[in-house]
Amino acid sequence: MNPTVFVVDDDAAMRDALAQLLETADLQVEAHADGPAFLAAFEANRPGCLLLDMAMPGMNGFEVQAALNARGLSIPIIFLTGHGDIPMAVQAVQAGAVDFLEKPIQGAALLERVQRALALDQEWRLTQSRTQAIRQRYASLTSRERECMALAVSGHTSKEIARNLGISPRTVEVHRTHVMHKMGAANMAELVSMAACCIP
Amino acid sequence: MRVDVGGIRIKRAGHFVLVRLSVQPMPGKLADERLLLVVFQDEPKADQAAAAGDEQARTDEQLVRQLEYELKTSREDLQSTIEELESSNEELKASNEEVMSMNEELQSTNEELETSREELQSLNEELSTVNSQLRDKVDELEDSNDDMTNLLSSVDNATLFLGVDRTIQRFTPSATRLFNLIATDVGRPIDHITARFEDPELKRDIERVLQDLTPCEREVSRDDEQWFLRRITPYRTGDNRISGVVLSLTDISVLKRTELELRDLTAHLEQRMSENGAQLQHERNFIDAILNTVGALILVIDTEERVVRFNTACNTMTGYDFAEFQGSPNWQNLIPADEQDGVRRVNNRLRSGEDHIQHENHWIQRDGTPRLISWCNSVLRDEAGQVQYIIGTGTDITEQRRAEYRARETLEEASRLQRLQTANELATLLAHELNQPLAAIATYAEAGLQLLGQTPLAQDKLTRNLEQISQQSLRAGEAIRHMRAFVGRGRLDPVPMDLNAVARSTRTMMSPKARTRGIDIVLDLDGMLPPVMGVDVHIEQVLLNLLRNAIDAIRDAGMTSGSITVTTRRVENMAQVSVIDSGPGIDAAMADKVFEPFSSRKEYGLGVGLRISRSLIEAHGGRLWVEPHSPGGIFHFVLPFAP
Repeated sequence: MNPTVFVVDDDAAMRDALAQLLETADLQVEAHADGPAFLAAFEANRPGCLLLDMAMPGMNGFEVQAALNARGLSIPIIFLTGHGDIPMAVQAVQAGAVDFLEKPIQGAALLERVQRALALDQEWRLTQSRTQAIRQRYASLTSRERECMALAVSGHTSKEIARNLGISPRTVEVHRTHVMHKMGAANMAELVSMAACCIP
Repeated sequence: MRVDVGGIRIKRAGHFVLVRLSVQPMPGKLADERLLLVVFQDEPKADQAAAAGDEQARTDEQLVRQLEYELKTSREDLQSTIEELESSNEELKASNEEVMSMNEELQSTNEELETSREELQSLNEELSTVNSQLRDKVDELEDSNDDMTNLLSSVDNATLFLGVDRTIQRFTPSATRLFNLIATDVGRPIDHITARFEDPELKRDIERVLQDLTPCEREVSRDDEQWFLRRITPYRTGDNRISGVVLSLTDISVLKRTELELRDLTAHLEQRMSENGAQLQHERNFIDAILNTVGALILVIDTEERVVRFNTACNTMTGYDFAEFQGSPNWQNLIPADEQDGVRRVNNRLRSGEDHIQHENHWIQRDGTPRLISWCNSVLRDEAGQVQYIIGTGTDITEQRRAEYRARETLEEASRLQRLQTANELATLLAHELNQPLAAIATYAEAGLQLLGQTPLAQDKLTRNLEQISQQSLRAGEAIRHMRAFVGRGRLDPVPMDLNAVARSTRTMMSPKARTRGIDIVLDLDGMLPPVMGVDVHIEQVLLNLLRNAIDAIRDAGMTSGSITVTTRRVENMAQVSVIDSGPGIDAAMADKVFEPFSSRKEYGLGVGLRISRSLIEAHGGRLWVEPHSPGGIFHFVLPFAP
């Protein structure tokens, strides 16, 4: 799926001008006049980035950002503002924005930032799909296996796990072998890194 | 080296022979010995024979030479004789000339003599004329002598003429009544004559007059009944020489008696006066006490501007004493040099009939500090209505004025800050309104640049792009227009208001500034003017702006005084306010430009003030314009009446 650059600005001319500028760089653009319209159209599986105007009537840029975060939707956000200041920029970046640009924007700079944001999005998506696979595998473990895995990744030996769970070390060894196999981990280190994104 | 000379003649045995002489150095036996070898060598024979032949010829030649010499000598003698002759000839000639000139001189002397003789003759004639005149004079003198004798005997005054040696030269017949005189006493000293009245000082007075040459008068009496005025004056001859004194005695008995009576009367009066005087003195002390207690400065001067009164307040304020100015016009030194003319004018107006004049000027304290004093001047007249004294009552308003000034400064600063704040707000609003279209334009332009870089050129896209840019520019213009309308509409909330009250309050605000520049702000208000619709702070701002401009215009034109008149009038169905100043004015050519921002014309302070003023007035549905007029600036504005 080709990435889409979402443009949200209440000013029609600005919207149109941004679309035109981005299209000259052969980018796919989808423009929305306000936050709700964009939120309605956006889906988690749509790769891309968001050019978000800060000052809008009804729902401002921060609120759109907050709504996305609340829904667990992650898309790189580049904020655009008519007259920004440092506190505003700090707040935006703290809330996860990747960039904060002041209008008027230099074309080359904007395109460069957009490309970077798209690359970031791709990276995120890659990470996310990997995490999802790990979680699916984690879901296939039995409850005993999950207990064993949790203790193992926190550095306990088989004997300690056996004593902890009140089962024989031999049984623990069997569970560990199953866990390694089901999770698709080649060694202990790999399992530890997987545990970071699946054990709550 | 060797020296060799030939053909030298030497005498040897009675003959002359020719020899050759050669000299050369020779080495000696000793190293430092230096010798010379001298060789005389006869010339060969042939030469010797020739020398003998020559001998004869030489004798002849000698003879000839001698003769020639003699001839030459004679010739020279002759020459000098001729020259002597010539010189004596010239001398003779010169003598001749001298004789001739002598002759001429003699001739002229002769002529002079002739003239002298003629002069002598005329002198003679003149002398005979003078002689006849002298005779006439003598006759006249005799006549006047007779006249005088008669005059002297006819006057009743006893008069004696005394010589320098105090001898009697002449006396009038009436003198015999007062001195024991007879005709033969002429020539006798006055001391020898007894007087019939008491006068021990007579002799001394005569001496004094002769010495000082000033007349001397003294009253003398006879038995205290008859009084005489004895007067001694120096006797001056026609050529201003003193040749004695004139002693005259006039009977003043009647006068004397009157004087005595008067003296009695005066003494009586004085006694009565002194009784009243005590009361008068008391009142004077009372007034003095009041004058010296009041805080106001009181200066009283007479018509010659001499100080009559300078109260304690004056003393305290200036540091000078009354005694330093009493009876003198030097109090004017208290006034700074550039204000003295003004004070003099005020005093002249008071002297020429005005009764009360308010005036302000500085006085300089003893330590050099100037103080601003507000004077209320009036005059005191005598019974005839003539101005006798000018009374100035002053108050030191230095601090008051300073406070006024500070208050004004604060006010102006506040007004300025307010304007600045308004401008700030407007600028922010405008910036926001303009930023959207400008950002869009910039982005379109960037897109356009990207499109231009692409091949093939997307002409239709570019066209749309440029159209958008143009549209956005129009949108920016629209934003400005919208803003202006907002300024006009949103900021004014007109209510019925009194223009005269605004005029009075602005005058109060600007008066201190105007006064320091010698400018009077005069109000000429229509008391019947109905209220107008407006926001009074805005109308005040406009009027303040016009007044400030007028004051600046007068000052910038280098004028040290002037006036500004503010009028309110009903003109048709509008209220008109006019500000008329005595500054340079604005001619027709400039009238159109004064409302342009930052106009080149400086005199009327035309930055943006007038433009803002015009906007404010137009927002009220009125009009503000300049009337082309020079000299004298005229600005008008009209406002609609309240419904």
